Amino acid sequence: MLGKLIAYEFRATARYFLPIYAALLLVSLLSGLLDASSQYGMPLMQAILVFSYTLLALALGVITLVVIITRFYRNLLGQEGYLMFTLPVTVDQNILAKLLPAFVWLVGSILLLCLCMVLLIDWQLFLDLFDVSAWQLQMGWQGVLGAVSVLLGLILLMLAQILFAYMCMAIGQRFNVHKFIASVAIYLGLSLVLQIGLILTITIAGTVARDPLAWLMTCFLATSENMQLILFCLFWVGGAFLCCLVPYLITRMQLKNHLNLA
Amino acid sequence: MTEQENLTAGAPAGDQAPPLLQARRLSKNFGSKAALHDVDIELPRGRIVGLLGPNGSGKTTLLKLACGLITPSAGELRINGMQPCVATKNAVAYLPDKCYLNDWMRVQDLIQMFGDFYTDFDAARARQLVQDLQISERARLKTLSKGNQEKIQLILVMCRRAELYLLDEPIGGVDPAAREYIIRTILGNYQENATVLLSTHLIQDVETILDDVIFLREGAVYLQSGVDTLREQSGKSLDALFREVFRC
Repeated sequence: MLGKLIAYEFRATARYFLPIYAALLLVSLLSGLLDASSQYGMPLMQAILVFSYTLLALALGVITLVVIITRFYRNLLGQEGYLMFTLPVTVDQNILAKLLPAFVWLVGSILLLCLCMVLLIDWQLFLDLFDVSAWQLQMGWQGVLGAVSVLLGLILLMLAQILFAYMCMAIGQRFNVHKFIASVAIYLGLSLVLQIGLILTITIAGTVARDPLAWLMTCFLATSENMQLILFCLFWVGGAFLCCLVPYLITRMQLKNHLNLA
Repeated sequence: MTEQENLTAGAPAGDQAPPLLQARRLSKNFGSKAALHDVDIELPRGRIVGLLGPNGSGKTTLLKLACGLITPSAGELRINGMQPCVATKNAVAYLPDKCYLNDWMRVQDLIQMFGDFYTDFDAARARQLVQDLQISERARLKTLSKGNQEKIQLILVMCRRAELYLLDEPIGGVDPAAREYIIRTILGNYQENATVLLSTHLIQDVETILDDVIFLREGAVYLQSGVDTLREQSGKSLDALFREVFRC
């Protein structure tokens, strides 16, 4: 059932993303080709293309954000939720079927913007990506561990951002009136509280120990550099995982035990 | 809770078949307002039951509770002996009083979607009914009139071979001809052993098809009875009795 839900979610969202992806690629390719083929350049044409790219990139950013939020809000907590919550699927499946496509589109949009930027600025750089002989892997296991951890942590933090928004909407839907306004207020309020909490934690940690990270390592008896690296990776990935787990569980609890479709 | 656990959440032990729908001291509050309070209902199989009451009497709230779209403030509601879960959603076909379908989808996509998620959905029957209405399967829902959107929604719901049909105001807000079509579609498609719980305040149109009635007044059950018994005892038609009970 999860696979079917995800397939329907991709169908529902692809109609927003694919046209703008195609337009962005076209503008970037045209601009790159124009730049590569013309010795003296065509300043006016180039300027128009760069302007179009900027507009499209902005539009993609807005669409990505709006679609991620509205798909969860309208499809699960609006009138369409009457269908989604009467399908024979679990709450987990409904949440994951929104989360995974949202994540794919978010990553897709970021990667596409990077690719278009490369095409726009330096066409040769794009071709170099396919020149495998130029790749130099000089990383030991420490490098691989560090790179994988950083990547995994970043992926989890992106998921956490989406889940945080879901959590605020799931709490906001419990209000009998002005549900969306309540969701936005909860998002802003919680964000503020979390930021203040983070600043306070850093300040207190800085007061207690001159070098908090080193102090933390000593606490866990991580004396060697390798141990410290492993511990740091664990903290980074574990912390990011917790940032996902908490809003996920709260969202799940709200939709399972306190669903309040108007 | 795993999916398996969810499938059988709250299932009773023993061999005796539980009532199809059972509510015990069921209450639902919205803020300080009680939409339902201390409702006790039991529905057997194979009946067409009218859930009757004026606007704001708690009809929609009761149906939403049965679907798990809202959760009770107190008491409990069980379907086939289970609290609303994946298994009860497989047994219940629900028609809300508003359009709950994705309006950008084509009719054929909606039929495909219901077939994908409900194993009891009869897609061939649905296609036939859509064809009878002379609606193109390629039409997007948003391009259809409001009346046709409601008919498509009804067709999708009634083409399930469900055990319990929960229909919220299926004839509200449509013209008399459309009402006839809707009632015909309900009668012609529901499973014989299934129960239809139909909420409405348009009694005259459904009086002849109802086996039982439940009158809801201000969130409480005013009466629950067989229609024939009620007519014999009161000497009045259901419509006349409704007007008397709910006179403003």
